[in-house]
Amino acid sequence: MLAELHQVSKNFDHPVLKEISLAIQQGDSIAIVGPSGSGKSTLLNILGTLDRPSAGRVVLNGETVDMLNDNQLATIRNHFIGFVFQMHYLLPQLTLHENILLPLLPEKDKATIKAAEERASRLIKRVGLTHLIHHLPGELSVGECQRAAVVRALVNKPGLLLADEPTGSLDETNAGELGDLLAELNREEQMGMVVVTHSMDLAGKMKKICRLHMGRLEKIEKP
Amino acid sequence: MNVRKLIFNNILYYRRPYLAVMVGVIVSTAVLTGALLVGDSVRGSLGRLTELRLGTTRWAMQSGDRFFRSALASDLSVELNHAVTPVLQLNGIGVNTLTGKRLQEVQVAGVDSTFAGLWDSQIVLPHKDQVVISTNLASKLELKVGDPFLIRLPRVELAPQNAPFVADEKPVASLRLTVSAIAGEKEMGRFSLKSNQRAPYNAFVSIDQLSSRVGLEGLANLLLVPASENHELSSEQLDEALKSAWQMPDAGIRTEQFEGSDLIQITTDRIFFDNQTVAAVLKAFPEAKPILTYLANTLASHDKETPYSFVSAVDNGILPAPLLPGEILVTNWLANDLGIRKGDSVTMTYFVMGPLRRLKEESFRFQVSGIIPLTSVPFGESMMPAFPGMSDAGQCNEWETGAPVNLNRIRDKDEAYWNKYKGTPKAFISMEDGKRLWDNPFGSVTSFRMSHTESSHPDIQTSRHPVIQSSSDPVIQSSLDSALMSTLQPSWYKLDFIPVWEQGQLAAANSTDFGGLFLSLSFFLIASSLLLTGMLFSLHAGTRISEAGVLAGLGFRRGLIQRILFSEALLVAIPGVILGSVVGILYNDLILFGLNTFWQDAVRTSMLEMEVNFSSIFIGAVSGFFLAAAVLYLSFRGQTKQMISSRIKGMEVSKPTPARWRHWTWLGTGTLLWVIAIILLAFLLSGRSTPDAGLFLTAGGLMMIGGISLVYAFLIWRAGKPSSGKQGMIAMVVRLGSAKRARSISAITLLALGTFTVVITGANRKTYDGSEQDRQSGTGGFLLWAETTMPLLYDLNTASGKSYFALEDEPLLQNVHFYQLHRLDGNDASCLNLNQVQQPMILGIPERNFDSLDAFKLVNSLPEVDPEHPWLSLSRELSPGVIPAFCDQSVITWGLLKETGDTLVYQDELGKELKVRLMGGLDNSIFQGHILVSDSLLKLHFPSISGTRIMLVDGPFANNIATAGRLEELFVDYGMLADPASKRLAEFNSVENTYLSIFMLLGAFGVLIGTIGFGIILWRNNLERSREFALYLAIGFRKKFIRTILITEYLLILATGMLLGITGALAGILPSLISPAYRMPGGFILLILSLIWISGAAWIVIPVQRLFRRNITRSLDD
Repeated sequence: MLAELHQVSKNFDHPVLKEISLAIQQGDSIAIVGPSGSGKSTLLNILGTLDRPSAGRVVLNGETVDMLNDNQLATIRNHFIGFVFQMHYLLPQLTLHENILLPLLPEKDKATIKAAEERASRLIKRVGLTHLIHHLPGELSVGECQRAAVVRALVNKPGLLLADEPTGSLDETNAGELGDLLAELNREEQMGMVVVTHSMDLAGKMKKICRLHMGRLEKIEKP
Repeated sequence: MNVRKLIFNNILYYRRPYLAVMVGVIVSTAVLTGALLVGDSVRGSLGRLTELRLGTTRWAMQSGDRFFRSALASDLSVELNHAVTPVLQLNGIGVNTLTGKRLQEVQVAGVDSTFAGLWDSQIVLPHKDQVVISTNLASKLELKVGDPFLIRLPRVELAPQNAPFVADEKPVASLRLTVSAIAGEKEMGRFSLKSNQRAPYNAFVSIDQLSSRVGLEGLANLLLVPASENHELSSEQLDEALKSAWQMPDAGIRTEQFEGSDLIQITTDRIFFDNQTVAAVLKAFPEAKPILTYLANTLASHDKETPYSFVSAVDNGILPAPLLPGEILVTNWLANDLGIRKGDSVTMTYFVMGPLRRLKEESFRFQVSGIIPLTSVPFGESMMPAFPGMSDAGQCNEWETGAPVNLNRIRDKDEAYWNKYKGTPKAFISMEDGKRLWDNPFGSVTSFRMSHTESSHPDIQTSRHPVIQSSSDPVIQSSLDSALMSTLQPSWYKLDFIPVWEQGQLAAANSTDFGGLFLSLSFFLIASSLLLTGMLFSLHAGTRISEAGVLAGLGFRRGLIQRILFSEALLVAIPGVILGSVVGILYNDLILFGLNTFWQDAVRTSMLEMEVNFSSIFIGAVSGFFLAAAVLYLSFRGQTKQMISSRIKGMEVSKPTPARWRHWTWLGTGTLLWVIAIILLAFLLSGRSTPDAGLFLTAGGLMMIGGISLVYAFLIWRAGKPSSGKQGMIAMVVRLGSAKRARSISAITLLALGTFTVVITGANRKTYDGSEQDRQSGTGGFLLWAETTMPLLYDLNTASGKSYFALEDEPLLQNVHFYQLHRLDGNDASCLNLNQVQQPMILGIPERNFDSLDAFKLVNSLPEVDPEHPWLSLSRELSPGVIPAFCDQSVITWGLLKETGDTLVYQDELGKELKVRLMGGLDNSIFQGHILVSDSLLKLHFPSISGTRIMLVDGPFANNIATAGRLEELFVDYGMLADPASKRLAEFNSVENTYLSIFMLLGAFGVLIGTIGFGIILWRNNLERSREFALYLAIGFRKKFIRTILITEYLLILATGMLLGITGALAGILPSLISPAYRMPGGFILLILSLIWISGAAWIVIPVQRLFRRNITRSLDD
């Protein structure tokens, strides 16, 4: 099992998530849909260790993360999780290639770095960005940047890819292409994938769809 | 890609904000380094000035009012195989006879051909009737080469001028000279032995001409020993050489043999032998008989009287029969004149001389023990000491004595006696009576008599000469001299070499710490530039929240994210520090320019030059770097936590409603600080404690900080209490301000601190309008402070003194009282001298007068000082050789680097150690630079101080300027300068005021930087809130309305900050405010506050105007 949520709850001023349990296996792709403010991003943040639950347990790659400190969580994020955000958040001061290799920065093992660089080259080619790798993000389209952000998320060969509204800032064509790319990569790389989205088109490309409603997660059958 | 490359890329990408951060680092480092360099430059300049004033001189022997043979220089030169330069140094008055311009305190140096060599000067030393003058003297009197120049000099005597019966002639010596050259700063023009950056007015004349003109032929009072090319001379070498080279005349002692007799006479040029020398003579020649010869005004018996007769007190052995106390042996001449016989009584009247020639006539009745023939009077006329003005007088009516002589009383027979027998004593009394009646501070022996054949001294016994034919027998003379000199110490006669160069360099090295001073003066500038640096970096870090979030999302540890950001800042700080160090040199140059020109009041010289000391640059750079690093770290440390927790969205997370405890904590803190401040003020104003300016300042500071805390508490409260309905503009403004309360309070704090500093500094400028008549003020309530170049020997309050100086009929002086103060010369320890001096000038003050006047105010004293009568604690010695003293507290602390209770060590007139214990510190006074001791104790230890050169004048204030002018006219020959006491005090205050001006200027720069920081906060605020403003526009607000809201909000911050600063400052200066004598320089402070307001307002209005020039509604599209 790649990731598990056991009875996870999260309260801010009011309960946002209520006793949510979820299990993600290798090759899974799960879309989480729901209205704004329903707690989708919160759930993703808890799954991605960017936030801690008020109650419940999070298990990633067989390890319970509740008691881990910030540095241990950062290591998990770096090695096991890949993030794709609504905005690409490529650093404007770095070229596309440098942005993609950014997750390798904390890594010290040269062999791992070398393998990741080779993987990055393959993925860059796979998403069709080879000719743009020395460009700065400001010189590219939003769609190209978002594809680069996907490669950046995958460069460390994560077990779990988390995407928060990845097509939210894209036009219909680009959104469609990115959805296809994520689905294809899920198949090719066999990582677990959780996508938070409002787009039913994108959700439809995932293997499972869950809806977050009133703080609880409900599975929806795909049409 | 690696971390280093990422950091480098980041710096390049964010070069603009980092450039701003770098500018902040440059400013703070430049100010830090510059301040340290100012310290180096001042120290270095003072060191250079020491070289300029001393040339290559390393050692000096300065005997002041004692004179030795100028040939001692050549004798020493032979002993040391080293050049020694003799100088005769006197103070005189210079007159440009073409313009009539006069200058007091001209340092006149009689020099020989070796003198100019001390400076490697090309100046040809003056021949007869020529004078070389210093540049400043030439400039002051508008003299050029070829101009005539008159120097008036004091009458100089070998004997102390206030010793009994020493003539009191008015200053007479004048030298009419022609200026032959003008000596520049590097050509002996600054010659002085005093550690002071102010150059004296120097006139160099031929030593032969000067010494003969003032009656000191062949004498000098200063020896200069230059540096050696091969090796430096040691103190021991010099002392040894001096002991070999000095001769009896150098100590003012003479041994003479009587022709046709084996009798030897020992006399002194100073009339009276000091007790130390008496003991030494008796040690060398135990058989020597001391004699004390004195002038009796009258010897009377049986209604007959004999005027003005010398009477000798002698020990047994001089006369055929011993004299008992109360007995008098008279000559037959006197017996005949008075018609007395053995057993009759004779009454002797005589003068006892007090300080400033205050005479008291006393009398004593003797019984005639016998009559001796005049022709058998032992030693005859030689018994009379060589009183200047008497011993060389041809007739009685030519006598010039220091006591009044009624010439009408002198009869023909008296003239005949004088013509034939001169000062041959007419009577003898016992030595016991002589000492009891005539002992005085100068001694009680005028000569010794002995027979050399009876001498027990081995040298003399071995050189027996059965018949001595003249007083010039060289063998006997030499034997006597060496026998006597073996018991004398040169230092008893001020023959002592002092390492003047070393002392000068030490005084320069320990001079006022301008480095520390300018660090303090620049404190606000440094603090504000550091705050600005931190603020700029903090704002920049704030723009990179989303980036940090992304990195966190990618698995970067927080520590790594922090390291990346901090490394970027440090890498920017390094060139900032390097550039700052370079700019620091320029800053130092700028400060030196200020000190040499418009801030010259603080340093009293224009000779400060830049000295770049690399250790100071290094210290400044390293300190600048670490300070910047600390500020940078602190400014983003809190943010990174927020940056990461705020995640990746890049949106600033709304601050949660503040916890109520925060509000209560700040409210409690603010209230507590105000309560403490008010209690402290009430206590200080209740009179139960001595008002302490420091405590008032503390109270003011507490009020300001408390006020800031209360404002912060209010903002927290307001943020936690949203309005439910429609709000007025001010309420809305406050609501908006409370949302960004951290920034608002930062700006308020910055402005409050700046305003506080500026107001405190401005208000503390010393003004004494209206307080100069107050006895407790720094003037002591005295009208004038007057100084003369020549000493005044008489008490100006007595009839004889007024008569002597023709003051009786001066209408302006009718209700005037003079307080004449004896002074022991030394270095100036006032704030006008930057050098650290070890032995400041000592003033003898009339402590009982000061006590009755309740003059001046002590701000610090030892418990032994009676608070009701502090001056009386100066009356008695604390223990033998330890005398109490007061001094200005500022001099104790800053000039001497000492505390009350510490002692200063001097040598008294006899070369013995004299400790001066600082018992109390005066509030800023006209005595700054002087150590104050009881006049009687000063005279006890320095009896030879002749006359006074300083006086305080008490009288009606309405005529102070006219009185000063008239006194200067009356004492023109004495070189008097009389100034209102308040003017003298103002001169000292000008130093402090100049420092305050510098502090204010630098503080104003600090405030300016503060307002720039304020502007940046507002600009950043505007940017962050552009969506909010766009929304206002979208919902129909007019631009003008939004502008008004914004400007009102920011002006409220500005006004609050300034108000808090002003409130605290007013509390801090409360003692001054409530003092009737204080006049706050309100206009000046208002001007500064207006500038702060205008500057702050400009930083508010301009960014707001610019904000609405662009289309901010686009913000809504993001």
